[in-house]
Amino acid sequence: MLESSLHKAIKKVGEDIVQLKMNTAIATLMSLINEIDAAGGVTKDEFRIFLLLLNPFAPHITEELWEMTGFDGQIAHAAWPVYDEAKCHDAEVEIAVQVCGKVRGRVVIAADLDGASAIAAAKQAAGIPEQLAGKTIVKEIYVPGKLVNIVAK
Amino acid sequence: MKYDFKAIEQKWQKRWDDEHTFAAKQDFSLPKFYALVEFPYPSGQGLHVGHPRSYTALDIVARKKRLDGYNVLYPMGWDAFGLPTENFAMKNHIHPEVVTKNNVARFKAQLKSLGLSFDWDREINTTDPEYYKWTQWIFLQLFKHGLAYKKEMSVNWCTGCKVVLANEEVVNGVCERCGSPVVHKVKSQWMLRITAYADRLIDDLDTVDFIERVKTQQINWIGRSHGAEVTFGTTEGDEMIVYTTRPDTLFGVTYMVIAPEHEFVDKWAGKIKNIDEVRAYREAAARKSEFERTELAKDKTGVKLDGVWGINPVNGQQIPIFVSDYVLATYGTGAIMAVPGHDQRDYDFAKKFDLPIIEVVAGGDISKEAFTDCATGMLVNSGFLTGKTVDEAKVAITDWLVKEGKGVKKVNYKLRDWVFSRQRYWGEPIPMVYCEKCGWQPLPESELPLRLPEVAHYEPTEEGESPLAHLTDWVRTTCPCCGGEAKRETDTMPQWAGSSWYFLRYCDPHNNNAIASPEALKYWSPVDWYNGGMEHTTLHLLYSRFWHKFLYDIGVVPTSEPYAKRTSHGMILGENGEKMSKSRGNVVNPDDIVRTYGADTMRLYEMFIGDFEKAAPWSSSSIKGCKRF
Repeated sequence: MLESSLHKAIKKVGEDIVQLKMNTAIATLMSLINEIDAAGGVTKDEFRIFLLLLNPFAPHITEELWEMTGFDGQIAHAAWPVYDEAKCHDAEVEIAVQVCGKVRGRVVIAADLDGASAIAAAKQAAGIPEQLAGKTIVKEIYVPGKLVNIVAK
Repeated sequence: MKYDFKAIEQKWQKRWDDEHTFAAKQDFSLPKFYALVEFPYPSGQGLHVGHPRSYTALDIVARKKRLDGYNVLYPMGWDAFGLPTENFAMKNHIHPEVVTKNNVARFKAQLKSLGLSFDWDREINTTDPEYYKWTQWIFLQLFKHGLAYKKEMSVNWCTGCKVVLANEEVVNGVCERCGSPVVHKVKSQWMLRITAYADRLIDDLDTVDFIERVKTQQINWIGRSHGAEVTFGTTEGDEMIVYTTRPDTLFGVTYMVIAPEHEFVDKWAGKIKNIDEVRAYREAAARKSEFERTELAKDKTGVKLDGVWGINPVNGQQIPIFVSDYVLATYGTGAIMAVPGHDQRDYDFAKKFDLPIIEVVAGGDISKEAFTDCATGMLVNSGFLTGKTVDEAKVAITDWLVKEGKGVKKVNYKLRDWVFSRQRYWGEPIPMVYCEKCGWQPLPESELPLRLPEVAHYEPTEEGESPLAHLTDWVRTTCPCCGGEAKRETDTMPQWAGSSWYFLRYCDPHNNNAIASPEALKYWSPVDWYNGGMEHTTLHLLYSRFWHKFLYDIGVVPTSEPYAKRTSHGMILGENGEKMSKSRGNVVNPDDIVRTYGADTMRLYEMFIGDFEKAAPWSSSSIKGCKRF
């Protein structure tokens, strides 16, 4: 989980900086910190990546931590980390389940799940069978990674 | 564990300084990235929390680009000529150079305390003779190429600063800096022919990546329009030329208006029966600012010239001529034709003076109001143009005017030439000499820099001459052309001069033989990313594009545009959502923030405050959130 978040952060922070979207870049770094907290720790290499991502924003503390951790030279002379596109995708996603356009529940599915299976999973999500009871399904829509909408009368 | 930000931040700032960590390399084989922010005017107040927003944002970009392996140039300097320093110097009897030195030291310490990764090895100062030598050199090139000239003209005169202002420095009829009323005064001024570059300043915007609102503002400011110059006759036999974008409406012209200062008023004085009334009106107009005359007065006034008539070239009809102060002698030809059927201002004027109103484009009801939605439509009551569409009629009438010798096709601009003289001390001396025999002569380049001499008083004279005019020994010199007696120019350059080319000097700041070496200019040009304030769009940004294009034309710089990309940041507002100002008492001092929370927190907060392009209110509670992070 943390590995995927790191790769996503490398991509997101790098792209945001050159578009001057500094606020969203910082928000990404803040949620990364929360994930690290939740995970209970990081490897030295993961920490190295985190420092590099934070460095343009907070140059002093990152230089200090870089030195304390025993990395070489100044962080200012280091290289921006490289991300793996494949690792930027989540294995699982939580999607919304709508009945007639209203959100009635949520379900976690595999990110690469096909449409029919996603819809099947949505129908079994907590609270959804009750919503569908006694109705005829007219239409089912799957927006990949986002939501399933079931139109029923 | 407590994080001692003060000790740690100082430790790293010192190490970056000692090791020149952020110095751009002179290795021209590396991929380069030139990031630029507007260098500040080192005022007595020190840095404002607004400055770091722009500086920090591009600092983050610069640091990221370094990590990406680019050879990054991110320089800083001082745009230090200008009135506030001079005014402070006058008031406290300290030399402006000393004031500047103290202010620069404070600014520099503040910028360093923010951990900005500027290349301090390339620091420049526009008031350094080794710098302004090249500002003067560029002026001489402009003069030699006919782009700098001296002209008697009616100029904006700030009654507070006692100084000539450019149009761009007059905001809502008052001085942009001090808020005093601006009046008109005729003075002999150095002018720069920026209008010669008007087309390229518009057209080349297509070749650069500027945010849309910057492009739009520059295009509107230059104000290019296509139309015709039409020659009207007069009963005195003099020809009167007017510019119009709508020659197709000529059959609807029922009167003309000329500026009260128009030369014909004096020429026809003997024929104008109400000349006293006309002259009284002219005197009243001279006391108003351009803005008051053209924008503020909702109720348009005027006086009809009794005894002289204009003649409409399309139908030979005699029409009355008025003087009115909303027409300016300095704009266009100082005379306009009025089409009350299709212009609301002309309509109101015609109603007031009981003049005929003729409909020439069908579609409205001119008994009620002017029909101004007439960009398309069909011509009526217009002789040989009747029945044609507006577009067809424009072509037909222009062809007819040209054939009859009564007009020419003409492109017009709102942009005026740049008034380039200030009657002030604290600016670059203009390196020109006046000889009775040879006229204006440039100083030989070998005599540059022409240094600012020492003066006892920094105040302009009561007549509004530069304080340099008191220095008889300095003023008296010999003509570089004939060796005879001559006088130096005592005006100095406006504060926009030094910033019009400063980004070039950063490429090679210590060069004694040129503004910068051709190799350095070739490598670093253009600036890859320039961030700055929207308020500079029609001033510094336009001026520097003009100088750069000129330098490109004479082979000094390798690109026709100085900046590949331009972005702009929103203002930082006070906690109450109002603009920060001393009078509102809501100014936040960056020093206090750095002292209390540290530079890293300050940087994060400035960047987290909201969308970069939009204005953002300061909030002390949310800076604490950034601190916890």
